[in-house]
Amino acid sequence: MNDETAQRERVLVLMPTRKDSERTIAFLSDANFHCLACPDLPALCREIARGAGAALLTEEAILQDREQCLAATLRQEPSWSNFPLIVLVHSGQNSGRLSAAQMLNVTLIERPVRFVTLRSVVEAALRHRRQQYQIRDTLLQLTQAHRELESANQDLEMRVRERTQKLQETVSELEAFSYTVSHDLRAPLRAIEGYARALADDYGAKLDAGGKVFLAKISAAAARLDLLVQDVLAYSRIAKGEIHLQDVNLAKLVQEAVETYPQFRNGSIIVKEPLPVVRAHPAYLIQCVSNLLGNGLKFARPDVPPLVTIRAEEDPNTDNVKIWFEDNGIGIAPEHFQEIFQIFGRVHSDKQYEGTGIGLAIVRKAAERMGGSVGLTSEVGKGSRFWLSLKKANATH
Amino acid sequence: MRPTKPILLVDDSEDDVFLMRRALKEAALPNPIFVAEDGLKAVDYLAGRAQFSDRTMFPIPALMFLDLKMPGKKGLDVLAWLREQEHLRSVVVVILTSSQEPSDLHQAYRLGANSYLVKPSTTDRLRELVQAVKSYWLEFNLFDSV
Repeated sequence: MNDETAQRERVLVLMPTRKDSERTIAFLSDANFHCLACPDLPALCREIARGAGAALLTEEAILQDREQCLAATLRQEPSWSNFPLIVLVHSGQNSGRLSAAQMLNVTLIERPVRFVTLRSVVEAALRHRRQQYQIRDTLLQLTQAHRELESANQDLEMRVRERTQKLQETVSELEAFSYTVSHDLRAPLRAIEGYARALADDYGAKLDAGGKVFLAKISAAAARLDLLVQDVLAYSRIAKGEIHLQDVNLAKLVQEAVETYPQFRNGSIIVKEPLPVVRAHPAYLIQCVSNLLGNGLKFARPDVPPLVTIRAEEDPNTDNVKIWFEDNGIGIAPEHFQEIFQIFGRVHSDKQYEGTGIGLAIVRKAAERMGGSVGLTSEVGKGSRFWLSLKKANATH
Repeated sequence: MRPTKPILLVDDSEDDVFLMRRALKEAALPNPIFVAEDGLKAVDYLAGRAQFSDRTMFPIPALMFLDLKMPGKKGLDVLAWLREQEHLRSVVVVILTSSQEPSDLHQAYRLGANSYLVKPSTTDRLRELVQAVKSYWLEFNLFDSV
């Protein structure tokens, strides 16, 4: 037994006379209890504060305690503590007089005391006290565990912050890099196209048909690469740009897209009104709409004139609205549903259907930046139904 | 009669200058064309300094095509300097650059650019652009003669 354990097993004894005290302690020591005789109540209180198992005292000692020394001591005990008092009382007159002590953990024993009773009461008190100390230890362990957890959490938060910052730095470096590359790539492309054109214009008469075909191929290749660079630029702009969502009139925006792009103007687009007002970034949304319309028209079946229908479907359970782009084209097999939204996620060769393979990646990125999503259902040979999900304008945020 | 003040083309790319000169020539502009191959030369021309000190040979331009990304003095530096020169404030500044960066657009307009054009990637589009600038800025637009 270490010091503290020994201390908290102590039974403090305060009797009116030295003789009583000696007799009681002798008996309790015979029963293997560790006792300490206290000369007066303040001494007993000091020992309680130092740590003890129980106190055995008489009713008179408590009633004479004018300064409420015992009550004050017990009040100062920590919350887990409920110190056991064993009080010897005179038979028949105990009930009202100790009322102030009733909230305490008090066991009353009528005098004359039978030692066998006293032994079992002291044993029960010590058992109770041991349980209190166990609760204290558990509390201490809990507090310690809580502290460790908190500090681990703080470490973790700090590490997450550090890594997030590093990641953000890497991402912005990559974005800056792709932006610069895209810019600097376009300058020589302009030169290639420009000189090829100058050659055809100024020296075309001296070239035979084969030479002219080569020149046309140079121009076409430059144009294709330029489209690619533009799409990479558009993607990185959407990926890194600041975004401010506002209410956008979808019907107006679709009309604008159709008017801006000449290839949309030949009556092959049907708009099913009404189209709602949505929360979006206008530039991003027009990019989405024009890319989805463009795809719908581009991937046509050889013998079927392309037709794209736009309609909106509000979800009554959420704030979302789905904008559908339904075409009558070649359709997409389900195994490609994920792939087509990746950068360069092309399903068809460049020869069959021209394109850069970035258009739908732009749509997905733009949708995500606007807090929305994009997806499709499709059947090969029957057409595709792409949807773009956004928040409704009047939705509460 | 409208005096045919020159056009100043500020661009460090020989290729772009070549293609632009061709497009300007095809548009049959009456204005003489001068080229400054960097920002410093552009300021020298506009200020009438160094090799451009003879104003009868190198008059204040009606319009300047200004590239942004150049070694040394950048296009935006030239623009900022120009807009502080009281006697040069009638010069129309058309930014002609490959940059579509929002910050470049924002800065250019803040510093007083009249127009911001992105270098087209094909000869046909460049011809359209030059034609549009010609008819708007050099034919329809009225200049402050001060």
